[in-house]
Amino acid sequence: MAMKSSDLRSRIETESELIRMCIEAATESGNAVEAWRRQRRTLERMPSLLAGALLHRLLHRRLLFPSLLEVFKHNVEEIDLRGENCVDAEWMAYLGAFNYLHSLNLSDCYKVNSAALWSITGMPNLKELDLSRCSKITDAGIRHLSSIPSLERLCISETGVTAEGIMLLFSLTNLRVLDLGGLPVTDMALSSLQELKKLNFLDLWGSEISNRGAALLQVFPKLSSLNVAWTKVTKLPILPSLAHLNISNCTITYLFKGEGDKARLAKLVASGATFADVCGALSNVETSLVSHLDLSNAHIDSFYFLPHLSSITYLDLSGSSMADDSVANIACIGAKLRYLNLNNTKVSSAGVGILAGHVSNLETLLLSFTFVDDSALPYIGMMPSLKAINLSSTRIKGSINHEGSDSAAVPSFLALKDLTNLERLELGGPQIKDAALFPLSSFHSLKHLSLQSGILTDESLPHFSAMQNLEHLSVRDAVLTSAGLDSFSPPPALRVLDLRGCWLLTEDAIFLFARKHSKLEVRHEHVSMSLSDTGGSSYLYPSEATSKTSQSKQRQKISLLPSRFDNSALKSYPSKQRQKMTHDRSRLLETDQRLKYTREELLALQFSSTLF
Amino acid sequence: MTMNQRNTIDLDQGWDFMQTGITKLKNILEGKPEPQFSSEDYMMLYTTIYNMCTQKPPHDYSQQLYDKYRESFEDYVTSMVLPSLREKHDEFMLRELVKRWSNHKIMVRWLSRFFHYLDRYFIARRSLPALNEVGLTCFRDRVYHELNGKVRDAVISLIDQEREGEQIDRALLKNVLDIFVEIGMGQMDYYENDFEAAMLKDTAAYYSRKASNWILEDSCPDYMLKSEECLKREKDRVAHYLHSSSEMKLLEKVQHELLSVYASQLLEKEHSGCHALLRDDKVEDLSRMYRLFSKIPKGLEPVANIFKQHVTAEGTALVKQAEDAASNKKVDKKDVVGMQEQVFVRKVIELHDKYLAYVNDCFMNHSLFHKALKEAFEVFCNKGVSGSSSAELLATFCDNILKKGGSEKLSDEAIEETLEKVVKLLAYISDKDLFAEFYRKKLARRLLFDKSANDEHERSILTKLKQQCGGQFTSKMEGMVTDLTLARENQANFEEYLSNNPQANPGIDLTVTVLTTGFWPSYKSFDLSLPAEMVKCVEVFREFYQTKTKHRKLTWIYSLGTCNINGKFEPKTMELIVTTYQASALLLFNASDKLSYQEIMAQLNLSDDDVVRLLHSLSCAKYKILNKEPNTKTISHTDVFGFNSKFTDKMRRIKIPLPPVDEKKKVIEDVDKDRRYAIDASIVRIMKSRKVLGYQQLVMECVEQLGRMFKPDVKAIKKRIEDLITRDYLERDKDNPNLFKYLA
Amino acid sequence: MKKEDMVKLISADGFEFVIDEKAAMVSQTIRNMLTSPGSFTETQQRQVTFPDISTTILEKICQYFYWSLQYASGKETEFHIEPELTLELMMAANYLHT
Repeated sequence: MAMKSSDLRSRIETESELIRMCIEAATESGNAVEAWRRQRRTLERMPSLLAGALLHRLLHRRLLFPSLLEVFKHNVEEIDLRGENCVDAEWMAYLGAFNYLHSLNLSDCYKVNSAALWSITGMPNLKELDLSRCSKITDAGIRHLSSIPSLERLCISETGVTAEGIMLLFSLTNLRVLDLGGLPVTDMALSSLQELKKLNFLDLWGSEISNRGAALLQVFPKLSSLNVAWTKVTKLPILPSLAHLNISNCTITYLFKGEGDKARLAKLVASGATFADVCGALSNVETSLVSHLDLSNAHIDSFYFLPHLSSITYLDLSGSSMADDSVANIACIGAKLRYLNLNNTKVSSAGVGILAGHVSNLETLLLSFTFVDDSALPYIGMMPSLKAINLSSTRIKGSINHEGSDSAAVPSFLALKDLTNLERLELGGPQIKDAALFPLSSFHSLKHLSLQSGILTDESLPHFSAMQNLEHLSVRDAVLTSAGLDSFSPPPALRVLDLRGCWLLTEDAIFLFARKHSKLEVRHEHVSMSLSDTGGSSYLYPSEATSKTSQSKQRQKISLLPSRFDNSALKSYPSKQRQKMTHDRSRLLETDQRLKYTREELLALQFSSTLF
Repeated sequence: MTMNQRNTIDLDQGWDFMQTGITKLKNILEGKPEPQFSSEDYMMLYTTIYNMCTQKPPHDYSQQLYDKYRESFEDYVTSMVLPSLREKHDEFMLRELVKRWSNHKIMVRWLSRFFHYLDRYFIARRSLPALNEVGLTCFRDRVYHELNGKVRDAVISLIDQEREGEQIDRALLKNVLDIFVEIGMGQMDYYENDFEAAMLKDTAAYYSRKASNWILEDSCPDYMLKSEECLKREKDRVAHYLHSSSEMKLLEKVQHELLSVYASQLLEKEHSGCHALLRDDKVEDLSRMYRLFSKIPKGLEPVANIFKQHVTAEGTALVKQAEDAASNKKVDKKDVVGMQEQVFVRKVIELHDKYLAYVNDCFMNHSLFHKALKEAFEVFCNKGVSGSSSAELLATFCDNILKKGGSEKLSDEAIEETLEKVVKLLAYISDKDLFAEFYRKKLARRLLFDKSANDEHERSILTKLKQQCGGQFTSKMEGMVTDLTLARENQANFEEYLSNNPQANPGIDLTVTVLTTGFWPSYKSFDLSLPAEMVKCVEVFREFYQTKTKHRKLTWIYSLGTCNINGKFEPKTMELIVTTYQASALLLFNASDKLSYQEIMAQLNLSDDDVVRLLHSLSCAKYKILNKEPNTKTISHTDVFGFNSKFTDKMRRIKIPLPPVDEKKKVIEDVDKDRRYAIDASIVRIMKSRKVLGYQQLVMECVEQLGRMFKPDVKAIKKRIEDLITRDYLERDKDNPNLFKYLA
Repeated sequence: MKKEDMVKLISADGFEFVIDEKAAMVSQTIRNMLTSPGSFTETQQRQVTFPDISTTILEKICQYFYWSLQYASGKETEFHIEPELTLELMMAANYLHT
C-alpha cells in the first residue's frame, strides 16, 4: 500500500510549519504570485513535492490559470485536477509540456475532450491517467493515448469510449490497472486486450461481457482484482491470482469452475447477486481465506457455506433471507468477525441470543428493520468489543415488563452498560419512552447517539446532559418544546444536535438555543442546513468505503447505479442526496402531525411538555 | 540573491562520496585511527543525500539510495561482524556480540541521520520500513538468526553455573539479554521464543533434579529453608539480568518444581511435616510454610486442612479430659464438678487464644485459616461435657465471673478480656438461643438476689453479645438490666410516698422490684396465701403503683421474694433471712404451736413440691427452726410440725437457704418451644415471599435463616411444616407432594 | 552565555550568524548534527556552512527559529514572509527540516 499523493502533500505541511507558512504567503493573492513567478531558476530547482503542494494550493485558491502552469513544467510530477470544470484544451496544452509528469487525474473534468488529449501524447514519463466520467472523450481520444506506452494505470470508466476504442488499448502493454467501468466492453473487445500481461486490476462493471468473455480472463496471469458487477456473466473460470472480486447484481451459477487449486479470494462483493445454489457456486473458493464478504440484498437459498469462512472479519447480509434458524451458521465463525450487518433481515431477539458469546471481537452490529425487541439487549450486552450498534426501526421499547406483574417496568438499556467501547448507538422506534433512557446517561464512551421516537418529550433531555463524550446527538420526531430546549444543558463534548422532525419547536427557540451554544451545530427544518453534513444515518463503514463517500461528498457528484467496484448500490448515494431525502420525509411528517390538532391544542402544547 | 547553480550529481559520483563517509564510520567502529566526524562532514553527507533525492527524474535516486543504505549494513555485517563472531565461543562470543550490537546501533544512528531525507517522504510514500528499522532488521536477519541458538545455550549455561554458586559476569548477561529484547523493536516475541522458553525449561529441569534429592534427604523445615533461598536467588536473578516480564514465569516454574510437585510429601513428613510443626509450636517454620505455599495454586488448602485436624484433635482432647475429670469426681461434692467445667472453659479459651495467634501471625490472617479454626472449634465446642451442653457451660462460666463471690477472682481488665473471649467462643456454638436462655436465667438470679458484682461488666458483656449476635439476641437481657435500674428509682418514690402518707404505712419495710413481663424468664406465680401483714403491704404498694401508672397489671411472684424476720427463740432473738414462702410458713406458727403437713399446705395454698421443699429447709436442713414429728430426714404427708423455741446459733443473723428447683430441664423445654415458634415464623416468612417452593429448598432456606440462632433439626422443620399445613398456612401441591404453596 | 551554548551558521556568501543552540535545534537537520553520538567534542567549533542558502534567507531562517521558540512557549505573534522570499525559504525549510 502506497501513500496517496494528496496525503503526502498534506504531510509536507504538517511536518514543516515554515513550509506551510511559505505556501500560505505565496498563494495569498494574485500580487503575491506575481512576486515570485519570475524566479525561474529557483522554480526549476524546486523539489517536485514542494512544487506540487504549491500548485494544488493555487488551484484550491482559484489562482491557477493556464499560463501560470508554465512555471511548474520542470518540477511537478503529479497533478490532481479531479472535478475542476475549468480544465479545457488550453490547460491540456500547457500540461503537455510538463517534462516530469507521471500522474495526471482528470476525472470529472467534463470539458476535456478527445482532441484535448492530443496535447499529452508523447509525454515520456506519464504512468497514471484518470479520465473517469469525462464524457466527451471518445474512441478518437483513445487513439491519442495509444502513443503513451509508459502508461501503467488508466481509468476511462463512464466515458464515451466504445468497444472499438477499447480494442485500441492493446498496445499499452505496461498497463497494470485498467478501469473500463460502465463502458460497452464486448467479448470481442476484451479478447483484443490479451497482450496486457501485466494487468492486475480490471474493472468491467456494467459492460456487455458474457460468459465467453469471462472465459478469456484466464489470459491475464497477474489479475488480482476483478469487477464484473451488473453484467450477464454467470460463471467465471479459474483465476489463480485473484484476491478481490465484485459480482454484484449478477446471476451466478458457479465461480472458478475447472481443474486446479481453489481460488484464494480475500474479498468478495456480491451485493444484489442471485445464486441458484450458493454452496455449489462457492465450492471452488478457498473459503477459509475470505475476510470480507458482502451479500447485501443477495438472493441466496442457504447459509450452509458460512461455517467455512473461518477468517472472515466483515460480513454484510443485510436484506438477505437470513433468519433466526440460520444464525447458528454465523455464530460458528464469529470469533474474528468485526463487522456484521443484518439490517432488514428476519432476525429476531432469539437469533441475537444465538450469536451472543460467539462474537467476542465484533465491533459493529447493525440490526435495523429487524424483529429484534428488548429481550435482545442482554445478549448484545454480552458482546464485549462492540463500538457501534444500530437498532433503529426495531421493536425495542427500552423497558421490559415481566409477565404477570404490573410492577414498574425494568429499563432494558441497562443491559448495555458493560459495553465500555460503545461509541455509536442508534435507536428508533415508536415505543421508546423518556423513562427508558435513563441508563444511557451512564454510557460514558458513547460519542454518537441517535434516537427517533414520536413519544419522547422534554423529559428525555436531562439524560443526555451527563454524557461526557457525546459528540453527536440526534433526537428526531420527538415532541420537544421550546421551553424544554431552552432549559437543556448540552453535554460538554457535543458538536452536533440534530432535532429534525421535532415539529413543536419554534424558529425563535432554535435560534436562541443556537446562539447560546455557539459551538454547537443545530440541525432542524428551521435552520438552513450546512452542506458538510455527514448524514445522520450513515453507518461506520470500514475505512475504504468511508473515504469513498467523503470523496464524492466533497465533489458533490452523484455516481448513479450500477455500483462501483467497492460500493454497493445503495450506499453510494452521496450524503447530500440522502440527507435531502430524509429532510423531505420529515417535512411530510411535520404536516401530518400538525393536522391532528386544532389551533387551540397546538397552542397549549407549545407551553407544556407533560401532556404526552 | 546569490545562489550557486548546482550541477546534477549522478549516482556513482554521489555514492562514492557517501562511501567515504561510511568507510570512515566503519573505521571508527573498528577502532582504527580516524578523526571524529566534524559538523562539516555531517552536513556534506546529509546534503549529498538531500540533493540526490530532490533531483528531477531520472536523476531522483531515492530508491537506489534506499537499497544502498541497506546494502551498506549487509556488507559490513557479512564482511566484519559475522567472521569475528564465528571464531569466538561461549563467554567470549557473548562479549563480542554485545560489542558488535552496540556498534551496530551506533552505525544505524549515524547512517540513518545521513540518509534522513529518505525517511521523510520517500519511505512514507511507499510505506517502506523506516531507516532505523532497516538497519536493525539487517542485524536481526544476518547475525541474530544465525547465532541466537548458540547465544541462548551459552547464557543458560552461565545461569546454571551461577546457580551452582560460581561467580559470573552478570553485567554481560544483562547486555546479552537486552539484545533479545531490543531486536524485537517493541515486541517481546524474540526474547520470549528464542530465550525465555528454553531458559524456563532448563530451570524446571534443574530444580526438578534438586528437589528430588532434597525431598529424600531433608526435613521439612530444611527443605523449606532451601526453597525460600532458591526463590529469593531467582528473584535476584531477574532483578540483575533477566527481563522483568520473566519474573512471574520463572518463579512459577521454580515454585512448581520445588513445592507443587512435592506438596503432600513435604507437608506429611512424619517427624517434621506440618503436623509435627504444629505439635512442637514451630512458629517460624509455620510462617515460612505459609509464605511458600501461599504462592502456589491451591497450596494453602492442605495446610489449612492439617491445621484444622490439629486444632480439632487438641480440642477434642480437652473435652475428653473434662469428661474424665467429671466422671472421676462424680462421687465428690457437686460444686467441685462445677469447678471442672470452669477449668474446661478456661482451657478452651486458652486453646482459642493460641491458635488465633497462629492464624493472625503465622498464617497472615488468611481467610482459609480463619475458616479452618472456626470449623475445628465448631466440632468440639458443640459436643458438651457430661450432660451439659456447651451453651450451658458458657452461660455458667459467665455467671461465675459476673456474680459476687464467684469462683474466679479477677481484675477488672481480666474480666473484660475473658468476657470478650467467651463471646468469641459463642460464635462456634450452634445453639445460641439455648445460651441466651441459660444466660437470662443466671442473669435474673444475679439481678434479683443482688448477686451481680459489677453493673459495668453486666452492661459490657451485653454490648459484646449485641455486636456478635445482634440486637434481637440481647434485647430481653438489656430490658432486665434496665428494669432493675428503674426498680431502684421506683423504690425511692415508694418510700417518699410512704413518708408523705403515714396512714398507709404497713409497718413493715417493703421493697418491691417491678419487672416487665417478657424480658424475664417465666416464673410460676402461684396464689400463695400471704399472711395478713404481708397482704397489707401488697395492698399499699398496689395503691402507690396505681397513682403512678394506669392500665398496668401487677402480678406478684412470691417465689422470688425474701423476708427478714425476727425469731424470738428462748436463748436469744435472732434475725432470719428467708424466702417469702418460708416466711409465710413460719408466720403460721404465730397463731398455732403445732400444725400438720396438710394444714400447712391448705393454709399456704401451695403445691406438694413447694411445701415439701420449704418444710425440709426449715426442719431437716442445717437450721431446724421447726420440730418435726416423727423426727426423720424426709418430709411425709403425715408429719406434724411445731416451733422449735430452743433453737439457737452462734450468729445473730442467719440465712436459711431454700434449694432452687433444678431449672435445666425447664430451660431446655422453653428453648424448644421458642424454636417451634421461630421455625414457624421462618417458614411462613419464606413462603410468603416465594409463594411456591419445593421441600428441599424450603428446608435449606429455613436452616439458613435460623442459623444465626441455632442449628434447626430437619425433622423438627418437617414437623412444623406438617403443623402449618393442618393450620392452613400452607398446602401441598396436588400433583407434586414435595411442593408447597402459601395460602394467604 | 557560554560559548558551547551557541552555534555559528554561515551563509553561501560567508555571512555568519551566531545563535542559541536551542534556537538552532528547531531545525531537525541541525538537531541531528548536534546530537549525534560522539560527534562534536567541546573543543571543536560548532559551526556549519550552508553553500545553498543565501544570507537573506539564512537571516530569515534564524528569525524563524526564534519566532518558533516563542510561539511554542505561548506567544502567538505573526511571522511575516515577503512573497518574493517564499520559494527560496520553502526550499531552505525543506532542507533544514524545520
